[in-house]
Amino acid sequence: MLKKNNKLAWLLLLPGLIIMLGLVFYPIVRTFEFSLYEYNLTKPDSIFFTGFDNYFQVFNDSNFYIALKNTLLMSVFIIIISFFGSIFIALILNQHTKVTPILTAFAILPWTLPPLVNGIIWDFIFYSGYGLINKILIGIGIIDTPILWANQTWTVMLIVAIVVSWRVIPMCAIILLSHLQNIPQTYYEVSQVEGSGMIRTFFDITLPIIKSSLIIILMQITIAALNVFDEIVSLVGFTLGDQTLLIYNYMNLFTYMNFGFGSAITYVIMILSALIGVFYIASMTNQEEVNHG
Amino acid sequence: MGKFKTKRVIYVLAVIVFVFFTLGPIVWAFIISVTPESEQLASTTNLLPSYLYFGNYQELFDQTSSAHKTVFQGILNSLKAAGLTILIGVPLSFITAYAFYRFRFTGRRFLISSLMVTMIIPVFATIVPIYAIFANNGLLDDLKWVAVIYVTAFLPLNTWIMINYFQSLPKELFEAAQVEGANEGRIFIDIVLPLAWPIILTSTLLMFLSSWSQYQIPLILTSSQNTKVVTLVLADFMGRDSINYGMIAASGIITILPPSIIAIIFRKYLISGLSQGSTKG
Repeated sequence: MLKKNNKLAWLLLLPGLIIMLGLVFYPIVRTFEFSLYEYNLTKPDSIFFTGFDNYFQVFNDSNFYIALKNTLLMSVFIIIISFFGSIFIALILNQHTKVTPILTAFAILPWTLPPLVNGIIWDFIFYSGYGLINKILIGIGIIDTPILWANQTWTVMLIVAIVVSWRVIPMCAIILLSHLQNIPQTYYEVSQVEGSGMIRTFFDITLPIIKSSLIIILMQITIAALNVFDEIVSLVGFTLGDQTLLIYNYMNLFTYMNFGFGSAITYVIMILSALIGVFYIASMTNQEEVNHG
Repeated sequence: MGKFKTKRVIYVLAVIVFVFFTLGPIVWAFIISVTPESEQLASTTNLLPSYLYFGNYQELFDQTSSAHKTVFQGILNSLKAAGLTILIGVPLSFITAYAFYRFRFTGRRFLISSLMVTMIIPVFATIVPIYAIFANNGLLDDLKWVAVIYVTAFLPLNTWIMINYFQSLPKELFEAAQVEGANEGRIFIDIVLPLAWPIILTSTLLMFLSSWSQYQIPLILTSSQNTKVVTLVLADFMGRDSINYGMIAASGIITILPPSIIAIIFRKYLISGLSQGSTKG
């Protein structure tokens, strides 16, 4: 039934392989090569091999540690907000009421919008003067003068995390939902007969069944967190103290045109995210194996 | 009965929180876009403007204004890039996925894994050599080539959801066709294609939305005003003091209209794509 027609298979794969080899795999190797060179576009006459010097420089750069700290802080915020937010929204969408279809449509909306524009939209909310949040907080009397949200790095990271979560939660909630909807209704009926409350039912029935998809969304969220870029550009720009790893990377590559040092930063970031990514891909392809039988 | 009521109250409250969180930011951006400039940053706790001001939209739709030219050129460029991405990317993902689904060959698993790994690789891992290749061959600042790079970025996920979709098709169909002596070409045209339209639609939508959202790739590969996609135009607006908040908000609202409409109309296909892309039921 499953054919072993090798020639036709490779023929079909050829165009995809060519484009991926030429524009993804080859560049990845080239980037590593660049990282071993002193290679600054502003000094085109002095390009030379330096071995791992660029990597030592990265680990000696205080800006790298600032960016690393900011990225970790932002990621922790994103993971906490998105993880619990996704469960909350999936549980709401799993209640079959008259409004469920329209709620589902609302839910996927933020996920479909450009992250850069999301940052702009949220900028009006966290505007340091009379933005929406300050208006509300002053209106209900919690504060007297507007809070300067962009004043401290941790509030900036928290705001970025909220905006990123706004886009990540819908995606994860829908993934969870597709699992929730596969739980046989009889499980819930039994639990109701036994007189279990809402919270008991969640912990005894729902949670164990969706555990595997919780791991998947946790990894999705982590990958999204490590790749945040656009929202930071529109919310904070390229401010030095508020840089995350990718912004730090971008600045060195394209503002300072330091391709050698910048490529070394890229590889350091990749190794950090690979630790998470390999785990993720392994679980995904294992699943494919299982489904294949 | 009392317990039933509490459950209902909790549900209604949860729904309100959810709707407020999801739609609130968009509604607020719209309110800013129809607020007269003098009131936009005013130190009041009024949430609504004293009157509806449509000046920003009038300017955006006034064909002689520079705002109109910049924003609509950006929208046109985004459409162009998205259209090309779909034209190349959907067929390419389709044949790649079909080859992985239909055939068993040495290196199959390795190829699938290698393809999937690229999903988590940051743009910067590839973009500098691509920039160099493009610069040497005069391909920079060209939306065609931006679209090709988009395709390489979207191919893994789209191939993946298509493989998963193929696997959900009943295998008996293929067996029956083979018994009847149909060749590979006939099976592909008579059986696979007619069954595949929902996943082709899903993939088309995903590619449109992902292209529309792109910022990093065009930021690096394009530079002139003629090739700037709409996200780049908006990022420029943010950095310019001469453009007021209302105008930025109005441009933002116009930019999110196409993806929003698609999200609402085609939510069924997007949701199936999402669930197929990450996990299977």
